[in-house]
Amino acid sequence: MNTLKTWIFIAAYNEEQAIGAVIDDCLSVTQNIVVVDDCSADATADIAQRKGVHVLRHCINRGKGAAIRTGTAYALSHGADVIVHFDADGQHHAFDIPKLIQPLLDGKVDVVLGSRFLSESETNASMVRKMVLHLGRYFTWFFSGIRLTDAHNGMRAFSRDAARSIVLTEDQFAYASELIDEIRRLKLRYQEVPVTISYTDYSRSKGQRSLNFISIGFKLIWKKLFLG
Amino acid sequence: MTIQILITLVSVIIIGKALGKLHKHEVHIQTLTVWMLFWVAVIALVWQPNLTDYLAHFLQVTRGADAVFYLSLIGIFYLLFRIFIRLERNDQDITTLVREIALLKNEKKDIHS
Repeated sequence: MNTLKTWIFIAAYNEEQAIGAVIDDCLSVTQNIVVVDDCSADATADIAQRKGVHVLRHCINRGKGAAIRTGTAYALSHGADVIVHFDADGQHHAFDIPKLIQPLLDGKVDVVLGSRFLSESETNASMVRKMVLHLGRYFTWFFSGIRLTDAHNGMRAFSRDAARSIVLTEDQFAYASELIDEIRRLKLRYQEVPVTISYTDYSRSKGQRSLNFISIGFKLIWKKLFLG
Repeated sequence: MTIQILITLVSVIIIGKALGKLHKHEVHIQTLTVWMLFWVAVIALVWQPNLTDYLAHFLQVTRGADAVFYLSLIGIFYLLFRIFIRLERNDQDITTLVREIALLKNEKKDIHS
């Protein structure tokens, strides 16, 4: 597997408990790791620095969508051919990365989206979370016209050209839906790949609350109706 | 009578403040003109409420007060919409700045190391 130009991007906000183990896990795949610390109040950035990976720090907390833009700009400026998004709370596993990026290395697609709902996927998501994620799926299908099995999975991979051409404006978690809109707008070739998502008490406490998806949905509808 | 005097006083103060901003070049002349016309209209309507009847007739609603109410509602929603767009733009500008600072700081760190 060619890992020379594969960059892993990790957005982190107050993740001192998990970030060290997450970086160690990712280092088994590549040394090219960029952590964007979104103005954490804890030792997240220091722990990441000590691991010897690239660390950028937002001086104001701007949200995951904003961190993704910073990490993408950095990885692209360092010659990344493939950029992998990886969560900082330990719910993703680096052993999924090779199969995630394989379709990109083969040149078959421009974007690969991780899915926890394909037949080979594994997840221990609660029933409520699964229902909310399925609602999100239908929401995304209705507005973007792209039917996915898992529209809000944080594990994804992009080719250099795709990462460069995608334009995100959402700073917060609504970026995930905007990303799917961009795939349609730019007519990018995409594929879903099964990944393992392991929810822990820690990741549940850090992740988006199911109710937040409602406010994200309202914001997206408002923007689509009035801002085009 | 008290409410009429009160609204007139507030309107005059707002017009005075707007003129002060023009003097300090803090506001554009077009914006000031629209703003002043609005408050002059408020004063006129406070002292001559019958003027709203023309508006009501034009909009085909029964009372002048209703016409003012409907138009105010539309105006407030439009303003909210404009504020929302402005906030979005400001948010994006702040994010761009934060990103540039993060990238620049890292660049400096790379140079020094």
